[in-house]
Amino acid sequence: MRPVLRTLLLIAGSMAILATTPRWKRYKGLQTHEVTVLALAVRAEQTYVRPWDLFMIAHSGAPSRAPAKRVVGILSRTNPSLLEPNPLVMFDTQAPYTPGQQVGTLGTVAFVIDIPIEKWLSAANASHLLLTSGTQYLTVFLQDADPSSSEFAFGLGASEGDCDCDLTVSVDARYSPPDASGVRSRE
Amino acid sequence: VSELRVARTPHPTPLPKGEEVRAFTRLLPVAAMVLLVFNDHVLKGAGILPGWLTGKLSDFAGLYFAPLLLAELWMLARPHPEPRVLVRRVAWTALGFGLLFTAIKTSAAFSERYDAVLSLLGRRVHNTVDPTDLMALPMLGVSVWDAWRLVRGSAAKRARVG
Repeated sequence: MRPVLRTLLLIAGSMAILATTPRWKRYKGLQTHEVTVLALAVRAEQTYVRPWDLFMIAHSGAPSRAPAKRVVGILSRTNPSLLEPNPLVMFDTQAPYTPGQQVGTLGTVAFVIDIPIEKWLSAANASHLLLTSGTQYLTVFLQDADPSSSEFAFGLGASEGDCDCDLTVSVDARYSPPDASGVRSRE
Repeated sequence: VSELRVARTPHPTPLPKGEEVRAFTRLLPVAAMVLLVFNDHVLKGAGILPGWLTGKLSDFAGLYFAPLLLAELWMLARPHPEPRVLVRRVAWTALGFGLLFTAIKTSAAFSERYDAVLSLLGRRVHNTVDPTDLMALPMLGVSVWDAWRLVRGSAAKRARVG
């Protein structure tokens, strides 16, 4: 084998070890939902899961100079759109939600994060975001009194690669306040 | 028996330049590397193969070729005339990879530190804590066995030529 080829292979091998398991595939399988709502519901369907699997969600797009806002993610087994009263009514924008906390009949707080920062949830920072078999619903509340435009990105490709599962995301804008413009989805 | 005797020669003659035993730069380890890259960057999440399979492919491929790669780099950095040293070095690197792999696959704290260290190197990676990935650990043994087989074959070849 020629020295040049050998050197190239050794470099390629070293890079392959370092670059294994990309944190996320930014453009592959990424669905971006630009919303101007107080809340959106995400349905995660899994056909094969293990108890330590995680659903990953990112949000970005908010102006960098905007003050930080809290985003509360709530995981539920029941479709939030079937709940009465409206989950927005159950949600107290002033309450100090903490992961693991039960929010009425809606579900359990999976994560509390501040935006605008881009963040992916993993085992280290969202221990209550464990999905089990079947369909679960992730409701994301922007904990702020004023409707605000944010961009939520769901890295399906990366999530599925990580959790050995099949995920589908659908954004339900039913919980938009009357003055909100609803959901625009682009893929 | 004669093969082993050759490999255990107390004062082996240095191998001619270009004839040293190469652990990684061979067809099989390089193919494993290509498989890992293809799986990580194309197959994962593409829906072509089931997630449980793509989640394991890279582990199996990586744990096979990584010790061979590191041992070959080690041999380049600190050459040794005795081919069997290569096997020892593959075994040491396999042990290191085994400990690291076990730690990051079973401990969220180790996993987070691992991600952080690689991020410092400019690689944005995300390790998945998944104890079932440990089923790929025997590939480290395959790696050591492959190096041993390689060195033994090389010793036999040189004995025949000699």
